[in-house]
Amino acid sequence: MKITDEHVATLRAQLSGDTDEYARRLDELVSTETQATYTTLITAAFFEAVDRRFVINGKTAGDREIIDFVATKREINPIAAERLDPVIAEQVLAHALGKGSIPGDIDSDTLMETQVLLLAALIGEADLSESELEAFLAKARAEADEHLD
Amino acid sequence: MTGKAPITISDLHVAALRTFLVEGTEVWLKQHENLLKDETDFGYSLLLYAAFTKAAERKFSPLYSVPQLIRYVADHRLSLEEHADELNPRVAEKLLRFALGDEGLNERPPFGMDPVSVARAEMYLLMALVQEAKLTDAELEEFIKDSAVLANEWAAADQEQA
Repeated sequence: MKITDEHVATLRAQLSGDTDEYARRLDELVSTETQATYTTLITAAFFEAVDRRFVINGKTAGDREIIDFVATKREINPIAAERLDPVIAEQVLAHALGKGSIPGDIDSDTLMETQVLLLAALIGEADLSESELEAFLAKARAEADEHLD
Repeated sequence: MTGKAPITISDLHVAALRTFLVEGTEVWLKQHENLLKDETDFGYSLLLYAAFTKAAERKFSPLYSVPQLIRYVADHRLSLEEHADELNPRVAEKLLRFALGDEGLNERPPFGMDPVSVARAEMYLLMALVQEAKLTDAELEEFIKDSAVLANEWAAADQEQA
């Protein structure tokens, strides 16, 4: 299954902070297959957002920037402070930058929640215009489609 | 088994704490390794924890916020450079919150974590807090004495409950 317009609309609502629309659309992703496909889109968007933030002129950020980023987001957001485990968040970010691996004892729900929280933080900070958000979503969709049958 | 041996804070414990704070981790490990290995000697770990609590209170009480603790721990990890991973930030934040009596924290040490990470975080933070306080020799002696008094109070309370 490839990414559909519905998947993209769901992610758009999620990233725009339109919580009612997001909740409604998420409920409509009923089948296991469409949910798994949406997960692939989130992961693609996450990788894209990490590259955007942490790879500047071909240079990948170091551990210090990752530690500082996670701490700053947890400092300013009580939900992130509580739900984002800094060790896991740093590992997930480093992994997305091609450094290190994600320990096997991190379950898939925790991994997904970490990606979602970090994605929200990255997009919030990027403060994208409407057209930039559309370009971002198109890129994430293309990237996700490459990994889907 | 009923009853338990009372926990005592000995002069040796106090001397070991002083070595740690004044001469640093390496000398401390060399001189007092046996104390750390003795799993029946709770007095020493109680004294270290009392010192940690005193140091945390000195730095953060009476007014602090969780974001402030998050930043404090992150800055300390950044200062550790390539050893940043040796201090688990989640553990460090919870240790500070617990020591400061944060009622929003519904957990106690070791917070379901590996006790070695917890002990290591406690030592890292204790050292950092004391170094930053830039105590004079007299103030440091006072700090060590106050820590021993607190540890003895806890030991006495523990004995009453036994």
